[in-house]
Amino acid sequence: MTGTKFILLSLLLTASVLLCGQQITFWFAGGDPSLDLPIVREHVRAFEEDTGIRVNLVVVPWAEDPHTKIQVAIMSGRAPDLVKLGTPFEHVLARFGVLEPLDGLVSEEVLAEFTPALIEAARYSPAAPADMTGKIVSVPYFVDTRAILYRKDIFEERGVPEPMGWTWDDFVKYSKMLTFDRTGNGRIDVHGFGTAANYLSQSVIFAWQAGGQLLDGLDYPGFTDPAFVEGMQFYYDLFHEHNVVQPGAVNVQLWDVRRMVAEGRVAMYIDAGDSARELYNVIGDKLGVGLMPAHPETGAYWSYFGADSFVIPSQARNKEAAAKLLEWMVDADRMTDYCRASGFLPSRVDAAADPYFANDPIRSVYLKQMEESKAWIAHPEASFITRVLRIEIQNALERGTPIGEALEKAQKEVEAQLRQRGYIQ
Amino acid sequence: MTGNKKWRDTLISYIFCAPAYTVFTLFIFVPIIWAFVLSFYDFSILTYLTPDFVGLRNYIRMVNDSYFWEALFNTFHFSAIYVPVSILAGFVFAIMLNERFPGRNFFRLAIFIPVVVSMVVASIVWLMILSPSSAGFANRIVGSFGIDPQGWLTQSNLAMNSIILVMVWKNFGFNMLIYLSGLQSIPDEFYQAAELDGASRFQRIIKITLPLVRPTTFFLLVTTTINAFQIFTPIYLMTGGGPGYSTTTIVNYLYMKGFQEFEMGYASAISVILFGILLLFTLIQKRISKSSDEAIV
Repeated sequence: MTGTKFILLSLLLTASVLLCGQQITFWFAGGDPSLDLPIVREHVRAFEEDTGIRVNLVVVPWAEDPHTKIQVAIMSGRAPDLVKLGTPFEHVLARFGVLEPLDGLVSEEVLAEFTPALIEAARYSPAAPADMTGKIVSVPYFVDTRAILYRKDIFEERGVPEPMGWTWDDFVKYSKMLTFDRTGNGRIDVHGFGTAANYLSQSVIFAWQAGGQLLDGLDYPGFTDPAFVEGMQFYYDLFHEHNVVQPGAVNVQLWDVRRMVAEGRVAMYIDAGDSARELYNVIGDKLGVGLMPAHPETGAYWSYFGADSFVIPSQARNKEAAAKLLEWMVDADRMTDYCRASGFLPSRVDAAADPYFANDPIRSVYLKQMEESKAWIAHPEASFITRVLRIEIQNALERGTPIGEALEKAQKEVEAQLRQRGYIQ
Repeated sequence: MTGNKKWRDTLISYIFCAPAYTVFTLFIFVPIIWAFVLSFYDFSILTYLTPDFVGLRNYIRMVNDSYFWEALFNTFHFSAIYVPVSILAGFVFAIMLNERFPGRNFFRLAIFIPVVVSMVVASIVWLMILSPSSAGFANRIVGSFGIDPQGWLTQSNLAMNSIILVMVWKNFGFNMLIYLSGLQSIPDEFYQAAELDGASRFQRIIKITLPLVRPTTFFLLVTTTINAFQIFTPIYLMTGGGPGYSTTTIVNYLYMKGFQEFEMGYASAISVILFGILLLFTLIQKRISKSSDEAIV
């Protein structure tokens, strides 16, 4: 009798588990509880109702270092089914072979809706591991590029036109006009260009515009390439020859530069769309957004874009359900909802065409800049490469030593490490 | 019977100590040994289960790594100023606040408050105070004396000293508290006798107070030095180790290599060297303290 009861109970439990359906775990890195997270929760709840798949949503704030946590989870064999993380970290995970290629999991129709450059940036390019080469390892959720944020009132005061279609020469000329002594006490009160050299993207965009690149097609660093040097020299000269940069720009937080813009001590600087929103909340219509200046010969006005993307770890227990949730989250309407709340730009072409983005005076400029934006290097040694180059540029800027020497030193060091790690011959 | 009792007492002692030693062994001793073992491997968190044995390569690499030496130098630079200044400040304020005067408790509390403030919060507040902008609080103060705005955290020659200032402000209240408890254990009769002999206040501090708080000073010297060598949070938040490498310390470098550049084996080797340095310092300090005590006796 007791044995029969036990068997019945076991059957009942098994049946209830089966009836409850599948459950997946979804890690969401970052997010703001007062902005975008309520939207994410709402979308996940709707997914559960629509599919019957239960989702265990785990939000990991950036302050808790989600990229380290995901590595620990994978190493422990407890990887979640779906992860939203910051690019280009997925390429590091792909290098270690712990991600599931998404080519077969996510439908071609869905992938076709994304900005092609973003899908290309999501493709794993290194030769090892061979089974990952050429595969799509992530799907972008949103993007954010960098444009010029400026004070309209200071521009008007100094008779400077809006930064649209500027060349490098215009940039220098107007930065000089915007650098002035407002109070007449003999000191410069307003600086034309605000920057933070500890954010490498602030200088590398000029190298890109000149035709340089961080790594060439064979993964060799290109720091000593004449085009790269030209772009870096341009950035260096803003500090040492043209004197248009605010004091302390060698090592300052970008939010501090933003504060200087809000206080009217800096006339323009380069930053992302979420910062534009924050600045708009402080200075309102005095804020303008413009495009990056173009190289006088190449005409390129490249900027740098970052993205947050979805990945599916190869350890995921339910990859099909995870892919379903991924496709659900990147649906055009839901992506629009999310980007409206978070202030970022949609990664899908159709979502970006929504009038909310396309007709907005600030967001539309970011969308235009997005057309000429590049992703950061998607290399497993990206952190090391970035650190070495950043340090040498900072040293040159602070000591006033030639930028060419700094780039040569960085080139040697990065080459040595890449060679030692087997990435180059 | 006596032998049985002794054996039983020993067993009871071990039983009472067991929980603490178990925790120590599991969470401190084993990780130290394990970090030492891992320092002979090349791995990242993701390849932790399949590391490559590289023998002494991580240690040999360290010898030739100029950034490691720079980080080590910065750590010594920080410790060499921070440790004596924070201990001296703690001692001076303890002497002052050991006297009876109205508002004494308020000043004790005011000096101790930074100790309980989160290091992250303190770092962000100081980051704003030390902003390179002429609107930054520190620059407004120096500006009122006609001095140009300074790059407190953005110039190599100032950045480390600014961090030291923040850390002294944050922690000397703890040293003051420990010294206060030490001072209160010194019998008043010693001071009264010295006063009768005509000793000045300064002489009483040098001849009575300082020797009698020597164990307190030794304790603070050891703990402050260990904390100084492990400095991480304010540098991570305020300067990111820059400009250049000017404020990168050993722990910041270790974090960078291990968690940002995925070289956990090399980071483990650096942590072993840091452990060795701290152990050596503690032994030297203990030796010096012991010799001084013997000299007094």
